[in-house]
Amino acid sequence: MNKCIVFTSILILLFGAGCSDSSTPNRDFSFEVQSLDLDSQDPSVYESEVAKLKKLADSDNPIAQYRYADVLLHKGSVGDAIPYLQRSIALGEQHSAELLGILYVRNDNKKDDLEGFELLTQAAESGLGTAQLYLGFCFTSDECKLPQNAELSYYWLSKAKDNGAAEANLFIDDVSEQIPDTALAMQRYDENVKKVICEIDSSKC
Amino acid sequence: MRFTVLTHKGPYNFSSDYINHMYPVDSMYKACKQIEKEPKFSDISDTPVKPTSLAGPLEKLPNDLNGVKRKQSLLSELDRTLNIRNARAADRLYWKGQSSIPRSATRALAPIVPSDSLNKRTTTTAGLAMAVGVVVQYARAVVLFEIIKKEAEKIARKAKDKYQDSAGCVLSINIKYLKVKRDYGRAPNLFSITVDKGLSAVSSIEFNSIKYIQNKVSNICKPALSPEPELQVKVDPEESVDHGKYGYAILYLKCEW
Repeated sequence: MNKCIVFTSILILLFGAGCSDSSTPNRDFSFEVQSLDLDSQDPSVYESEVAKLKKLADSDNPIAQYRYADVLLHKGSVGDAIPYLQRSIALGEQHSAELLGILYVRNDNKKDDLEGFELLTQAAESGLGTAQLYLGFCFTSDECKLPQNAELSYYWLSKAKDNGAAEANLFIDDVSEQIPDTALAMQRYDENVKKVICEIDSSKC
Repeated sequence: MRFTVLTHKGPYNFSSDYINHMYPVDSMYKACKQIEKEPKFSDISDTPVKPTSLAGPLEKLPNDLNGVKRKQSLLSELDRTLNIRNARAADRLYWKGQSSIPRSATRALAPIVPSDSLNKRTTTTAGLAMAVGVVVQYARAVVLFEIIKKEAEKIARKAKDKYQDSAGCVLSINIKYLKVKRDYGRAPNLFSITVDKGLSAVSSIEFNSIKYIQNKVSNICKPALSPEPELQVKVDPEESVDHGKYGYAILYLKCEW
């Protein structure tokens, strides 16, 4: 009987070991990126660190993908940056959603507007201050391609303010003067999002 | 309203690459201070060559070591001594935890140049900001650009009303960023926008941006109490400068109306 129990437990242990994936230990994506000296002022050091960053990005580190896309954008390579951002978003990286959203909303292709808005909204809802500020600013700016919506602007500016973005204070008073009821603007968020989607793409109404 | 970015190399259009034309206050100040602290070259007297060992006539000698050869060996020995001194000066700075600061005599040894004379060596491939370490998140740079544009217009309009018969103004825009390293890169915030100077129609035409910026940059090295600016927008009026926590950078904009 004892032999049987010992034999069964060994079998269970072996089965368990076989099922667990010991070949891919949990990676610390943040540490991998932090260990690079991307602020180096020495051009040769900087280039070698960027090469390491690219390797990390290619090995599916979502933070490295975001940072590498950022480097490419600073160099003006928008086309090369977008695939890295898309891969990073697929891995759940909200900073990449924010950045790609801004790129889509600012480019000349009207087809990208809806996706840009959705990505920015996703990032802002996850709590990213830059996305909140951008949306808050954009909905009342003449130069922004998104439809004008003072209530959504107020909603995101107040969220950004609560989130510690002091720049929101520069605009929130002007925007609040444009809406009759600020409390109502906060309540009608979902309704306003649908309205904006409908205005960008009438097939979604 | 027209805006131009002022730099030590000349004016540029105000566009979303403005971040490459910002002047980081901290690193420039640090570089100035290091230049001041650098030991004087003449103070480093410790040389392995006896001053008298190279003395002697330079005319042709009986042993055929003639004047030219002797002068040549003297010069190369002086070169070697100079190199030893340079290396020693650099080593001393290094062990004190300071960077070795270039100067005309030690330029070859120096890894960086002083920031108050930013030139091609610090602004190679990646632009000024990259060279001095103000590389920020692209998304944040875009948002800041929109905010600066809007706020600069607001304050410039106020300046137009305030300074009668003026044709433009110079604005200094301060941004701040956390000094600690962050996974996602630097995400600076706007700190303040100040009207530095009103420009009359004549001074606007004669305005020399290079000279103006050179003066501004050299003043960073000699901080002095300045009067409270007449026109300034501070994002958070209660907040004061905190060099321990934040790094600061300045963008100079010329506005014309």
